[in-house]
Amino acid sequence: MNMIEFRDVSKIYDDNMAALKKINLVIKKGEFLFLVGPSGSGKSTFIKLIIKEISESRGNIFIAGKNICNLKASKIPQLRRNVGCVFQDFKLLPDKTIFENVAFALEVIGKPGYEIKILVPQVLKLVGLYNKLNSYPNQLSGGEQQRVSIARAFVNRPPILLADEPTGNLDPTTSEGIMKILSRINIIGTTVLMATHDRNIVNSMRRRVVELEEGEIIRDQKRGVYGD
Amino acid sequence: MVRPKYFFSETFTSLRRNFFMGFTAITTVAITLFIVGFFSLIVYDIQGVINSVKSEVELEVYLEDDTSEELRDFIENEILSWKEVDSVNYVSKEQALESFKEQYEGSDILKEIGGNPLPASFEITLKSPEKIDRVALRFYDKDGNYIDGVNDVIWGKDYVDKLFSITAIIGTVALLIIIVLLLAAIVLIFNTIRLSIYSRRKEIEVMKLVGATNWFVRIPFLFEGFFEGFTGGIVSAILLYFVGNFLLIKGERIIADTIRIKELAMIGSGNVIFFVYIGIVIAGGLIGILSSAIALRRYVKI
Repeated sequence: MNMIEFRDVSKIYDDNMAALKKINLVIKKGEFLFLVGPSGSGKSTFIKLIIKEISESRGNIFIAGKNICNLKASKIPQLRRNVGCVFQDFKLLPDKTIFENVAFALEVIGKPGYEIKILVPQVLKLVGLYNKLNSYPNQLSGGEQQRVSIARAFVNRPPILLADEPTGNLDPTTSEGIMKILSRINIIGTTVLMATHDRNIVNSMRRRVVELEEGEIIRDQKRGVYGD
Repeated sequence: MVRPKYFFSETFTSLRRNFFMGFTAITTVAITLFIVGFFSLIVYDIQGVINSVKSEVELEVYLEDDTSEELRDFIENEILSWKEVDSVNYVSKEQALESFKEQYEGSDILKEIGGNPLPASFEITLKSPEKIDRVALRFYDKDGNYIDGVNDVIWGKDYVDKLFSITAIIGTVALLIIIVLLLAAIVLIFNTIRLSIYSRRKEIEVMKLVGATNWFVRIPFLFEGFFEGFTGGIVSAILLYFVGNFLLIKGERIIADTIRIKELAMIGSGNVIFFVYIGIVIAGGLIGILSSAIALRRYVKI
């Protein structure tokens, strides 16, 4: 089953710069894919299109077989509940505890309290932070904060997890820990798409690699490496 | 799905954070609505005065001294046959002098009066005071002279007209002041909501990211705006009850003393006042919701 499919997708920003040019790409259910390429090659645009933070200029995007091109604004929240997102800067709320940060993602989509009390500890166990439930983000290391943000993205068990440079601010050892968690999430059937600059990580994981350059796919390799 | 507890706690957290701005907004709404209510009461009272004056509008028809008793009876019967007329009261020359003496007791004027210069008259009250012109004209013939037996006709048309124009002026001025203050109140609530949206932009970003619906993001801000407007409305109703009523009664007493209108309607006239209070509180809530809705449209793109 195709989880994410781009058909002839182009994105041209207001200043007439083409960020993506006629992209065709199929990502199957359960795949783990690295999106690599220099800054400005279109990786972030690619991710923003999937969660419809921006809209494509041309072409069609299918998520789980559904065309999201003409998705009504009121249906966007539903789409985002099926796509977890992790960012380089974590985006945690500083005045909420770890538990509350993760629970917040469930609260705002209207999950009842008793479900939240089961799901949150479960996912925090998955990322190895069960003992930090009541800490605040600033009491945690960068790696731990990123694990909280993964927990938040995954607590709702979305079929797709997007990660935009999740190890960008982290040292190699910590990054390795993050990759282990993402692998674990992938193994239980989640499709993971990770945009990254991190050569070592890509080379050590040996997963599918798609390389972008100036908005075009210049390489699509199974069990690939970062490249030259 | 919807969890009221969540919205309430979010609303009050946010109110605490922007206490000063919220306080300013509430104060502005309160002052604005106080003035709105105050003017409503004034206009209402003046309307009452006009009505009572109108109902007491009298037509006085003075008779020639040499009018015969037959002619007098004929005129009286004629007047009574008109359907606009409520009552006719005949005042003889002697009665007129009597009441004149009463009015000017002890004054020098009385000594200077020899005999009885005062004419006899009919005092006519009307069922429909606004038709007074038509009734008065019946005492003139085609050429514009008084009919036989009539010396003069007097009615208080100018007086009523003047009162009408005063209400109109007060109404216009009040409306202008109210519009300016309403705009100020809307801008202030708009700003508090904008600030609280700004202070919670990270939360909003996360909410949108994990798929909160638009309404879920908006409702706490709408609550906040509503709360500010509503509280302002209640404060102004309380102010109006104590301060407004006091000022109005004092003010009307002063006006009544200066321009000698005894008929000034006193406040406290039941339902109308009640509706003014209710209206003010509802208006406050609406202003609050409206302002935050505008702010949300501009600052929370989803």
